[in-house]
Amino acid sequence: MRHLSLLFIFIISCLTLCQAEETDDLFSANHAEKEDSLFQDTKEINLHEVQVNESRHQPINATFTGKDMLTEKDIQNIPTLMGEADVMRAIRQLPGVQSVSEGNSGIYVRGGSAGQNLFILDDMELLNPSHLMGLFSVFNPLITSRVDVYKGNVPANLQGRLSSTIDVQTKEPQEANPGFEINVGNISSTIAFLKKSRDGRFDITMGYRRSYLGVTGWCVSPFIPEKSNYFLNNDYQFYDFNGKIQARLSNKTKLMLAWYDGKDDFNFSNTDMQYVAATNWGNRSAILQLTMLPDPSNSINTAITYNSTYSGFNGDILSNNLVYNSFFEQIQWKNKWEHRWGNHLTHTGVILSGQHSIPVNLALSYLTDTLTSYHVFRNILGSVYAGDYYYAPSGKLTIYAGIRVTTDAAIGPYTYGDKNYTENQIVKTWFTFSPVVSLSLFPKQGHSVKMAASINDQQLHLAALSSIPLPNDIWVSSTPRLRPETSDQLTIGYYRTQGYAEFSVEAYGKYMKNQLIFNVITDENIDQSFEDQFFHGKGVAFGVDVSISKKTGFFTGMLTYSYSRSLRSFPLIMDGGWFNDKNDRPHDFNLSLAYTLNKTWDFSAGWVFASGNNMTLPSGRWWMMGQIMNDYDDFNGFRFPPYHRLDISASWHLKPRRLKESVINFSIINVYNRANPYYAYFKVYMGENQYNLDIRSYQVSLFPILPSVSWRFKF
Amino acid sequence: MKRLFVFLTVLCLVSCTTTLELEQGVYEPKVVVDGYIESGNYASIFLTWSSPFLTNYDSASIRGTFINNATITLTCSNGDSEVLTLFRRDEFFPPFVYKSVRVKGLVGYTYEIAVRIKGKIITASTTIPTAPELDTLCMEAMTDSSGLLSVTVHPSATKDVYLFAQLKSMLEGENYHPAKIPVFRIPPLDEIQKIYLYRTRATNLYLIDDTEEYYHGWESYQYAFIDTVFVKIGAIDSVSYQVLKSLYVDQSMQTNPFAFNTAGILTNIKGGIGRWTGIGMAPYQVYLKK
Repeated sequence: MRHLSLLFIFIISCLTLCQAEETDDLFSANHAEKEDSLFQDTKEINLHEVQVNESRHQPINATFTGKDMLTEKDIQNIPTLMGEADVMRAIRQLPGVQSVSEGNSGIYVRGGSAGQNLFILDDMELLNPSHLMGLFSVFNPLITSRVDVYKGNVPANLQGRLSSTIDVQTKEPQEANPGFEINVGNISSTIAFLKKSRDGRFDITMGYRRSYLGVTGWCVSPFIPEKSNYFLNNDYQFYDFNGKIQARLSNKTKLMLAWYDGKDDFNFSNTDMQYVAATNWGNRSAILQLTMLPDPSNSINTAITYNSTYSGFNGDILSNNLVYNSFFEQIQWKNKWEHRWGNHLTHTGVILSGQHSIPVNLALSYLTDTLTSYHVFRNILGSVYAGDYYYAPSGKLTIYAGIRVTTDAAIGPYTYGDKNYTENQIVKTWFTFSPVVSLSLFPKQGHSVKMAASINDQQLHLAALSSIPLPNDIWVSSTPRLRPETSDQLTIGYYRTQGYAEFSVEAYGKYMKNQLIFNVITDENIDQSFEDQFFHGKGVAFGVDVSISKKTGFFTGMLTYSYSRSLRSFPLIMDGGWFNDKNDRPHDFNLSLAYTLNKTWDFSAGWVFASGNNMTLPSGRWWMMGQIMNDYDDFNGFRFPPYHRLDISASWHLKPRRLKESVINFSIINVYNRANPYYAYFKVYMGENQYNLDIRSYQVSLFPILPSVSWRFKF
Repeated sequence: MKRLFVFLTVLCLVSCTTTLELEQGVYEPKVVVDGYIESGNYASIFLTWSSPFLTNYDSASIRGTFINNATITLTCSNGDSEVLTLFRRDEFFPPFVYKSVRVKGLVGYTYEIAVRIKGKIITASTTIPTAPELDTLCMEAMTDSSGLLSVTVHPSATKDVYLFAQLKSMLEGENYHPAKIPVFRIPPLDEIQKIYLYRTRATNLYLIDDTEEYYHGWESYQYAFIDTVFVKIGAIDSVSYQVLKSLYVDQSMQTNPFAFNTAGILTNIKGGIGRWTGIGMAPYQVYLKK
């Protein structure tokens, strides 16, 4: 079985140009001699398909501890939300990734924050990976082939964030899947097109998704008053369009153009509340990549990429007007060289980047005055990395060692206080060294022990504007007063395969420096430098992730449990004492099951149970001038009630005459209608008698029980 | 900025609200000092115990928060000293106030208090700065019948001036209470500075039963042209400014679920919480109804 899987990975490696993270097993044991450098042989993908699905799930075979992989089937198998399968919801089922998702645009990996995850789509970076306030991710599920998730320890070429690297890859058109695929959901629909030219020299993969919330409003309008019809009164649209075109210029040269463009637009008005507002956010990315395989031992990859993210707000509030925009863009030149020799796979590379961020561009018409705030930062970055995989001939040892050296220079124009720097003048330079070592031992068949240690850095910061991650959160480069964030992470894991069952346990510890919290409450913040609106501190995270799974047969399932703690210390918050991070959630339990009844029906279910997250609430009350004031003893000292939810799904595979595939999916999210807290607030009620006062806390929950039906078909 | 988050909240498409059961942690009640001394006037101090956050008050339990058995000594930097006297004043809340009957506030002097209660000694110190120089009080029309109150202030030539503003409306029949944003920092500038005095309720912002009030349902922050509004503005020292600012900013953020208080609250009370504020009072100003 293992040999078959190695063979498959070898073929896939050729198809996907031998990316390093996919070649973990390429040189192991007796299979190095089977490698081939050609871009063709695509018919072989149909071989051993069953074995492939088994092997690709096994963390036992991965070089890095903490690495997981999701396939298209994994993503499609989870119950859909409003008729949409979602990549991010599938990722949240993995051990070490927090499973709570409602209305939260971020993910939290092993004690990290929402801004410490690197999302890569076909080698393009996406900074704002959410639609509809975090309900959906930006990754089109119909054209996603696989997702690699590295939880903290990553190869040198994929470094860039403290907590995780999530590498999403788009499908390659094959003979088995050309043509159109469409998913019709409750609030949005998706269309995908995959095609390869007859001679195999060109192929194209495209996906487009668009929402139609207005139609929902129209559908429910006969049943509820127009004034209460949220969807009819407010215009919300989102779309994304991404894909890639590949041209094989020769047997050893390939050119790829990939792109992503997506946007959310929300227009809201309420005459009673005197609000007229619009907000939007989105990503744009593109990559032009040339890959050459001069000989079987070498591959060279050169790419130019562009990525940007933006968000905006324009609102009239009580006769005031607020216009707020933020913007970040980056252009990169990346060059990677891979060389195989003996039992080694060595990769080296250079990345040059230019960053331009405008975290705040604000104009507030306030009574008779107009206040403006505009901050811009520019950076030039250069990274050099090198790494080597060593596969012992015995097949019992794999070692990866790598290092990435990054220099990040903040350049002018830049002004702070009395200091002025001119255009392109270097203001501040940082050097960061990010070594990573990973050791995998395979003492006997079905057993492995792995450990990894790394120092990670990240040059970009995500400033959360509120206590809840929002798509309008601000990305900003490192600046003279916002130093790069760093972390030291150590992970150790044990993996066991017994028959169809897989077991893994991983423990980790992480120490984070230069952590930031955006300070919403600042003194005259409209005039203050953007850089001064942050608290600076440190953090620690540690925990254990346990996973048991069965991934073949008619009945499959996975049970994961994570115990994790995430603490922070900021000198200016509660005198520098350690406090729980907002997303410190000690217990996270996740059970997912799937059952294939026959060729027509299959079923799946998922249940999550997690400790509630934390928030800062007053611990005490007191009176001042007749008003109730607050007293605080702790930061993030209150914990929400536990989060739990059951989702179920059934897929009905039709046998259409004119369609290649037709599947109707029935899903119910939150089957037992659990009211999980999204945020909390409180009110003070006066009693009928003098001095009667009652303080009550409330929670707002997003998802009640949510049934949905979707239809996915190919032609 | 804060309103941005409120708009985004509405995006919770199928949101529902339920009562949340939060566990109250152990909370040790603290002595609360709410005191001030204005130039030319006697000192006033309200003493209470703080309560756990999730407290249901009734007339018995709320009375248990009042402290009316303390000894408070007021000492001026000119050597004058007095033990304050407890008075009952039903128009205030809490309805007990410790007042000086002889010592009045003087500009430029420092006033210290020492509160002795159950073997504890709580101390605080404040100064009374020079009164600000105000120019004009006017109502800027926002609608045909309402407007915003504004005051122009002469800045200091050399240093920051910190202001504390209190209001009372005749239509509401209320006592003086802090404005919606009650503290201001006026930097040393050449030009006269304008500050807006936003209307707010005399009682707590979260108290929901405001249907009996005249301004129920009115435009936020605005006063009616037919109202008469009394305005007290005084100068406070920088410490008092920081303390009051932290308290009112925290209070204003409490109703915003997206906001979070990262800095806690400040106090200038040693051994307790609250504020002890010296105020250099400018002459009272009155907006007369039209």
